[in-house]
Amino acid sequence: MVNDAGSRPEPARQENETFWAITLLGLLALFVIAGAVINHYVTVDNKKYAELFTQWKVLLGVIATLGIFSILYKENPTYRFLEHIFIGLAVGFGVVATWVEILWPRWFIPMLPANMVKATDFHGVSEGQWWLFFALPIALLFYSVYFPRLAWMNRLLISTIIGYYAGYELAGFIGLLGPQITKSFKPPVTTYAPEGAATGANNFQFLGVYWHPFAIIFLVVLVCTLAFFIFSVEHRRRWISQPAIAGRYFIMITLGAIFGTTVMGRFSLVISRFQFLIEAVKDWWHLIFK
Amino acid sequence: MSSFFEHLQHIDRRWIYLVLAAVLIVSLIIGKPETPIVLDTVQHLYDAVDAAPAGPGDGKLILLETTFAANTLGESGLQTRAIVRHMMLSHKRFAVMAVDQQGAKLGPAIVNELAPYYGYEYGKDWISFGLQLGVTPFYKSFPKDIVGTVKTDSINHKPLGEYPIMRGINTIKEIPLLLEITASASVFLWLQLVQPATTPRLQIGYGCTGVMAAEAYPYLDSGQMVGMAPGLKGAADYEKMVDALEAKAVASKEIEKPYDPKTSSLSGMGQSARQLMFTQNNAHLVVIVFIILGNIGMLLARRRTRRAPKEDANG
Repeated sequence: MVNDAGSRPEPARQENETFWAITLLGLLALFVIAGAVINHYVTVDNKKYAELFTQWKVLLGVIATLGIFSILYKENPTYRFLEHIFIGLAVGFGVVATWVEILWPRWFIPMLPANMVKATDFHGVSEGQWWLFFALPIALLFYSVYFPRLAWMNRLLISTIIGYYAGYELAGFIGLLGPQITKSFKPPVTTYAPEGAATGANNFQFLGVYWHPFAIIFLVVLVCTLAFFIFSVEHRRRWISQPAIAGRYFIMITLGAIFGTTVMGRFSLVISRFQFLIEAVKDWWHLIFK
Repeated sequence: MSSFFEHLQHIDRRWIYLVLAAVLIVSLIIGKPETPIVLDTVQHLYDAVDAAPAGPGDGKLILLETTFAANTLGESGLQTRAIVRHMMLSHKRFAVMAVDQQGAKLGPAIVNELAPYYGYEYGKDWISFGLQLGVTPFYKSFPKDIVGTVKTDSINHKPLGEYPIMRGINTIKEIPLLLEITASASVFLWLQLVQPATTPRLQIGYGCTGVMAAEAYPYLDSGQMVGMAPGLKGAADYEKMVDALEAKAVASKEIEKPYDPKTSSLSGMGQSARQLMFTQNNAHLVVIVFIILGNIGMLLARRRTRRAPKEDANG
């Protein structure tokens, strides 16, 4: 976009990008028009066009998938174009879905009088809640940020939301982590056999008491990891520095496990895409040759 | 020989992508179903579904939340399919909901594909609550008044009270198990706001993507979650147990034939999780081989650079 001096764009490159952008947009427009035309002829009785429309959607998916994968070879205009299309679609989908799934049935329909609600598909929805209309001007206060004189109104909403979430997080913290804190009190040695626990590596009798080695491992890992995060004491003395070093290794093992599962998760996603491509090719093979 | 291994350290990444793509394609075409060793967490989840009192005469139902989008169908979608098959085979009644727009469509779509196989009827054996707002007021009011909070189902837009499945279902006490299949942090709202307020504590089963699995173990250890199916591996493990259950149902002529994933019209779900696990295993093997080769190359290169100064010093 800019030359080495970092000040002015390179005209040739800019022209090239414009050419690709217009070409790809034109191709997409043609493709979408073709899809709309096929869709126009799709009726319940017309299986031929319904199948054609399905194949059109699959072809679009295949082109988009291969286009996105093309980044693996090198940076290219097709990838950039599809990336922008994807973001645009996601935003567009979000806006429409918010209206159709949330605002329409939960805000607009309940504001209507009973006879008008009956005319819709939404049966059993509360009606005549006209006061819900006031949610609109309140929500619009967010946009007061664009008018310097009225910008203070925006702060009213933001402060309310922050206050709400501060209280909510405080209450939620206890519900979320409370059981984990109580469960972290695991006795490594007991004078009785824990109820329901089978005898094994984590529960055996020795010297007249019951030993639970996993609880010992748990305690060591817990204490060392917490030691790593104690910053109010300088890590110079051995009683804090050694557990903190061990804690660092435990954290690294955990991060390694997270990274491992991340790789597994990413592979699952790419496998799903490859499967889609293979299924599409199989379908086309079947359509053309059989 | 050593130059070959040194070269491996500087191999163009595109060759690695090409090899991986070839392995993925060949493995997917072969499509051999794996027989995985079932994880304890998945076994616990399976047992929790099995034990949940949500049969036709129990007056309760399981709540299945499918908060994921099309991009994680390869993990969350397969988990949902395996769990729904299990619930249908063991005659559990259930409701599907989501706090994500796409999940609200995908969950019922998966159930709709399976329902004809197992003779499940909408409104009698299962129901869709559709999209619910994942905000505090929902989690506060839903446990106290399910019908009043959800109001209508998402497929026919009829009041919930009109469906036979909802008779006697009023509060969270009539939900013995929540199955949270998610690719986001939606489970934490149930853990924070609903579970602590329920007596007996609401049982939560978790199906998450592979990325989220490692961070969920503390919740299993503390008993906040009864079981977990992590990523594709979790789906494959669960499916193995469901396939065994289904084989029994076919043998006893309870159902006509086993479910065939090839009939699925959902993108990326045309194979079973066990078949996809075969592909995943092969991909992992390729990565491991590349890591080993790269490390051998690094060690040999290091050895050579250490030797070089000694040889120079000796003339």
